[in-house]
Amino acid sequence: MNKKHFEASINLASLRKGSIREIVTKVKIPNRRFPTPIFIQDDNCFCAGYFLSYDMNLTGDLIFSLCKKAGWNQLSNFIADLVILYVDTKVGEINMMTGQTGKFPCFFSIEDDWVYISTSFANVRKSLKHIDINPSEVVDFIVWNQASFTTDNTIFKQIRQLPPATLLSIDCNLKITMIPLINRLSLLKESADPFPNQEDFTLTLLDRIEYVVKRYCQAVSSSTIATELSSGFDSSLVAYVLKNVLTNKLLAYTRYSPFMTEDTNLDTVNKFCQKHGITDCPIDISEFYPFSGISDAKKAKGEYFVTDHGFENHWLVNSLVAKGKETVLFTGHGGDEMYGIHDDTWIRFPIQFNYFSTLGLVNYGVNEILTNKGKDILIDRNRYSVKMYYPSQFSSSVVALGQLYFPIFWETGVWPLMPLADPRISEVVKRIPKSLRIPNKRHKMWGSRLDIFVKEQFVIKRGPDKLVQRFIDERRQLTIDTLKNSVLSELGLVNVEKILNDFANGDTEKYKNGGLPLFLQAVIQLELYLQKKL
Amino acid sequence: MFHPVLDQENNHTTIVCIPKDGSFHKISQLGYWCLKLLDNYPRSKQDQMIKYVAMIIHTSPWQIENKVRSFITKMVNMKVISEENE
Repeated sequence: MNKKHFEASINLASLRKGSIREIVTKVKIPNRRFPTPIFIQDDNCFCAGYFLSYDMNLTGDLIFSLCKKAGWNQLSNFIADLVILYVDTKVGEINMMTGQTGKFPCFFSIEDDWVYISTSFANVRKSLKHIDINPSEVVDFIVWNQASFTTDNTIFKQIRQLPPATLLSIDCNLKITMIPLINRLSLLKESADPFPNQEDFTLTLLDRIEYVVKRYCQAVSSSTIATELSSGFDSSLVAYVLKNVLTNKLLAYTRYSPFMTEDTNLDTVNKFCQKHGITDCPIDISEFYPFSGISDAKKAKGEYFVTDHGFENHWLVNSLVAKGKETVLFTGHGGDEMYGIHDDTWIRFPIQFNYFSTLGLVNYGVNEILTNKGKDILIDRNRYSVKMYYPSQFSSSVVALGQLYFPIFWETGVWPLMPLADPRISEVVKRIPKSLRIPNKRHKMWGSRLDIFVKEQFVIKRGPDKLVQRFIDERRQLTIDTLKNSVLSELGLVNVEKILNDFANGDTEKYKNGGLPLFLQAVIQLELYLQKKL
Repeated sequence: MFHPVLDQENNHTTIVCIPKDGSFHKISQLGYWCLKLLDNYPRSKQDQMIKYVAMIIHTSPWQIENKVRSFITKMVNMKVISEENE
């Protein structure tokens, strides 16, 4: 496993005396093909990091010149996976920026005149002598599985992170600023009139998706390209366009299980593949539910923690896709948000939206997991009133996916491409005809395109709930053993005694209802991490 | 809920969540100031509210009286605020 991550340990004394050589020796940029590593230096400054651009030709020299003239907003507007460190010893300033696609996480901390920065949470944590748990972030992590809202905080008070499209600046006097680089109000600009009819809209959308997929293929030319494929509309739309763009054979990887036929039906996938000459590689993920292979999961996560329920099966699929060499994998992620982009409520009122959505979760079983103290922190209005919003043209769930699964992308060498989340496609979808602004719009929208889809796809799709819930029965003892040593109970955040009683008495069926399976698995993930390290 | 920075950027408009079905409802500037007053002073009377909002948005109380009363009735019906405020 490749444990090498981008990291920099910068001594502020070196920055004050302008010693670029001392600083550069403590910057590590492990080599890889995708995204491209960059290191450019002159007498007073250097920039280092990674980039992969999906629009114009972004080069290392262009990045360096933009850094030198503080062209951060311009840089952030590239449709590119990007993480850049720029240090100017003449000005005495460290700048770190992330691109808006959110694929690169970036954590940092400051202790004893040292600034630690890395794409690895574990690397930053290891460099610190002292850490404290941040209860506010912990409760968010439990109920939202890290996928709710882009934040600059982490579960430890001493470690912060850069949300997508954000500039961190630290000067030699330890003045720290974090600035969102995308203007939220610019995302609210009025779009052109809606398309007059469904046919014009779908034709324009297909053209635009093809244009974007071509750009993505050009960006990763000479690389092995594959795609994810379920029986839903989004991944099959991407696979269909990709097959038309590529001249050679297309391999599609399908995660399936008898526990989630409502999510992916293998017969339907087979029919779709036969129709378009796509080679399907089905992967049975039945035995890859949360905590299924605890040692494999530890290996996959390294020293990190991920509270998302799909980590194990994503690790399996990406390992099989990679077969030891760097690959790019197209996915249909972003489709849900793409079709809803005409409603700008979540951009206009992002924190209010987050607050009300969190309140809504209280009806999904939060009371069973969190104590009154934990719940009070979760829905404390004052906490939301001071939250900072970091906008991105990419939807928050796609951005979160990048941040969550980065360790998998990095370690397996499979870099995901999510064309449906691309702002160039959003431009078209904002003009969706009013007649299509309805629930399940995909069915009506693509109903006449049986040249693309097969009729079996026109069913209501559900999630992988039964697969996720397997851990409640199959990992009962692990749940009990882990909760017996609960750190979160000591903090007064989680109803551990009640959960332990239920599990000891076999009263576990209720944990399969509402949001409880997700909340509980997040608690156990966090416990496994915190108990090992504190 | 209120967010000083976003509220200002949004020209003092906001959203409320309808408890019955969890849907969101956009609130105009006039509605925003009514809710803000109730948030700070839950026992405010409608006449006080009309004067307060008129002062904030630089208009005469009589010009907004009907709008404020109708807004409060709507919010009570949606169960966003309690009947005591009607």
